[in-house]
Amino acid sequence: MKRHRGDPSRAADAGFLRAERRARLRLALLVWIVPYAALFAARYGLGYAKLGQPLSWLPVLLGLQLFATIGMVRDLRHARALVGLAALLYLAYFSGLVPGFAAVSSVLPQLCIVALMAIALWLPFSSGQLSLAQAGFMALGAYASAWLTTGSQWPFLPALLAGAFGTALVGFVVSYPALRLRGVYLAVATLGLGEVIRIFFVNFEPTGGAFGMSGIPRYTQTWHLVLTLAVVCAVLFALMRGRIGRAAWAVRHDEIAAAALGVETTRIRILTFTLGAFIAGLAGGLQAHYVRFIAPENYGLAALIDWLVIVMMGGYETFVGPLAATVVLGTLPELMRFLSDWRLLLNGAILVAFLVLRPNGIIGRELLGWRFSPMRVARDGAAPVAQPRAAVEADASKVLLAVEGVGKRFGGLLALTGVCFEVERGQIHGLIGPNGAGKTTLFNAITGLYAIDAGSIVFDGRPIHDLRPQELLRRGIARTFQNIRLFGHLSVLENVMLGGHARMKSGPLRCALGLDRREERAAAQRALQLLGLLDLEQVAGDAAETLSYGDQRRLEIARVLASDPALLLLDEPAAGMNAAEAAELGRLLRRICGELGKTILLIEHDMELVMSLCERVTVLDHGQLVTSDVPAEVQRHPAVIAAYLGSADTQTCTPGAGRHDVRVAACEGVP
Amino acid sequence: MSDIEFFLQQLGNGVILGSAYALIAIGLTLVFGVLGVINLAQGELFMVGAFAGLVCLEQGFGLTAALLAGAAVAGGVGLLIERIALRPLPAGIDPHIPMVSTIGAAVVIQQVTTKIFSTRQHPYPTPAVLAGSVTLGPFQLDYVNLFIIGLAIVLMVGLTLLVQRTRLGIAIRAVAENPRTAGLMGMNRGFVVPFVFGVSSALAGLAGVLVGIYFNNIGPFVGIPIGLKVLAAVIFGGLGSIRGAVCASLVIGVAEVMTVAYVASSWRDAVAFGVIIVVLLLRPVGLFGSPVAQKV
Repeated sequence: MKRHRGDPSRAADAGFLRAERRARLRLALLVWIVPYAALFAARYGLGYAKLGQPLSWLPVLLGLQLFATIGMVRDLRHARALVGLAALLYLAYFSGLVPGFAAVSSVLPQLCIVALMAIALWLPFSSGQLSLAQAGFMALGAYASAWLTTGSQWPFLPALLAGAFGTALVGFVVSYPALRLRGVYLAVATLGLGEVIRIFFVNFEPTGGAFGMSGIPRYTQTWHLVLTLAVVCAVLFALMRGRIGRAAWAVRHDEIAAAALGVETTRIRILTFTLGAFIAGLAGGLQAHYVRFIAPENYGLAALIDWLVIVMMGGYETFVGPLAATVVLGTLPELMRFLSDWRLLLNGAILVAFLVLRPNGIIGRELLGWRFSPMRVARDGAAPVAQPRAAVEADASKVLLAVEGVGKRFGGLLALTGVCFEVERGQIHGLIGPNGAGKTTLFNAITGLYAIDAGSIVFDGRPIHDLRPQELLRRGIARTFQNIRLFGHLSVLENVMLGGHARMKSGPLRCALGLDRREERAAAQRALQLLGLLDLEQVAGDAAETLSYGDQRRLEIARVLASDPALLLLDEPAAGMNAAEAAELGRLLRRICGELGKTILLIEHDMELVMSLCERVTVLDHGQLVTSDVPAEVQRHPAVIAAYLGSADTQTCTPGAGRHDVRVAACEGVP
Repeated sequence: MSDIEFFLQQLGNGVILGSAYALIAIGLTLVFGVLGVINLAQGELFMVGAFAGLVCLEQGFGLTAALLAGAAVAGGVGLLIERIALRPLPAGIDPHIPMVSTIGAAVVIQQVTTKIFSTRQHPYPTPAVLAGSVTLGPFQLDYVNLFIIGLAIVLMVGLTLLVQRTRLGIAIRAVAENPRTAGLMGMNRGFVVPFVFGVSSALAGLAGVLVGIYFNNIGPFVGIPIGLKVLAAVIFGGLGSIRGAVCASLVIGVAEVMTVAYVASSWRDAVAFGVIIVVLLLRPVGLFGSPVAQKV
């Protein structure tokens, strides 16, 4: 089976495919013919003769071209082959096999520093925070450590570490207010912070002001840099492929869904931000003691743009992208000396060209999938002992969830007023009502996304309405969303493992040291089991976004099951399903309730499903409780009929007729 | 000159600078409104416009031609940015990506300009029409300053009327609110977005000519600091709000001039960034912005 990158449904369209092939042919011409034509024209037409030693820059140009081609190739295998080819090229290049060029050692230190900075920029971005203060952080690390070695005569290593930890401290402090900001706002605020740091050093006389600091001893050896980079990469590899990496991905793509899965979003954001600052500070210290002269202008926007180009071009899904792009772009300036006047221009043009060509960067996660995916871990090793939580304790009270007089207002709108009902343990409980009745609002209140204004919510005998989503998940309340909130680029298996996030214990340190492997394997195997239960085993390795709608709905259920909750809140699980699929879902929910001993509270507009499945049904209308009873009684309740059909005087509510109307209403609710 | 006169003089300078910033800021905020993109190349468009005006003035074409050239060239370059660096990006892409793409465009524009005009500062001639001044009580008002403020006010009012009153303005606001629904209502997003981008860029270009005349010189590297200051103003005023952008631009212009007058000129750029950070932390939606609730 051929695996395509990008959207498979688009690839299926033949006309589109032809047009795209033509477009790619044009791109290939642009990448493989135009640069040489331009160079020839410059050399022979314009007499711009300083082409230097062609052998010294030809491999680099080839590498850039290969990189661009990787971005154009749709077939994963071809793309991987090209990656291999490019790797060989650079290996030969760095090992000095290319004649006419042996000065690799002069490039390597600078390359390592750039790579560290690219990673420092990438790390906060991995959890969705584009921190443009990294140049400022680098300056902090550089100035602090240089000040310690020259002014206070500290030895190199303590000074370096002090600078790095000092920068990390600043990053840690900054990361708290940064939590209030999202997306481009954060980017702009950190851009301002970075510039303020730079302007501070311009005005700070003890470190030479705008003229900079010179006479810093040269302590940094090339092997220091290589070793640091290797350690950083090893740690990040271990950290980002496991629990913490998945959590960062979740925070980046959907913070609300991440919180609902029990991910401590705040902690993840602070962790990645602080680590990013730490690495920037470290790189700064190493750089200061390598180049021996530092000045504020080195930490301005130009440097930042270099790293941004690297991260965006390489691909920000894993740290491998920035690393690869560092090799490709970092070797350009040193070697294309004859183009050095045009370096910045080329950088800008390359940035735009690559973003347009492949907005997610060249080295995507799927390209490296086999390393970063837990599939292998899951498939080998012995089958684990299934250990579902003992759901119904003998002495537990019958009522699992009690909603007592809950009220919620948005401005002048009373979304919920005095809603009271109880959900009994081990039952499937339906929550119905016309659109705008307050069903989802109630879900959001129960799962801690909204603070309620009145009443209380009691779960398992304890009030829970003050708790955050993460704490609620740990107590055993898990939910799905009305509009599916899966992590589309992650595999089906990883989505389910994210569901198990709160049940796993490995923290950042354990993950970074690779001590989380056993837990990872157990989690992966448990996730596979759950996928088996929901008939999704066959697609475990596929990206979640490639699943059909019905499969995605079931995957959401598998994902909440992974957190091993006592109570599942399902928001319209049958929306968009046909009658057969809905019936299948009903059987599945009954199994979850019976075999796994879960309690289910579900919002659903499919009346046939609700009435056949639920042991009790609660009806809301205009934020108020209409009734909470067994299905047969609910169907006869005059207020319910009035709520759905407008008036109850002449019509008798047959399930079929009612269902049709409700279906229409449900369609309007689909965004 | 007494202290109070000095202060008032500085205040006036701040207002002039601020109204030039406001012209650029309006464009930035409009583009954010319809595209949801922070165009970090806005400062470069300002610079390109200034250089186009400079060429015209040096060739002796006069003020009107310079203003038109500034607007036309900046507008054209803006359209190119939209066409090359933004439109090909797929819908639903990570919101950081278009912003980063405009950074790339900004670098290209800046570098091309340095290739054409070299990296040095260029003297900017004052057009003959604007030489001279009127005396009003204790104050001496240069024609240049009056012209800058006057033109800025005319353009701001005109643009506000365009957005608030005309059919096109309704289309612009509709696209800003919800591009898909606007499309279903027959509004042509394929026209509205380039139109807004072009107008925004042209405004930045006009401001470039005005600021060039005001400071009597221009260099190819002014784009970045100006762009960032205007960005500060737009965030201060609330992204997407025209009123906010104008008010905040005036505040930032005055604050900058006062910093130079009373503190030190090397801190002038820090003012804008300080404002960004403080505003974002205290009131992330800005002065006139309204918070957007996320649907769960």
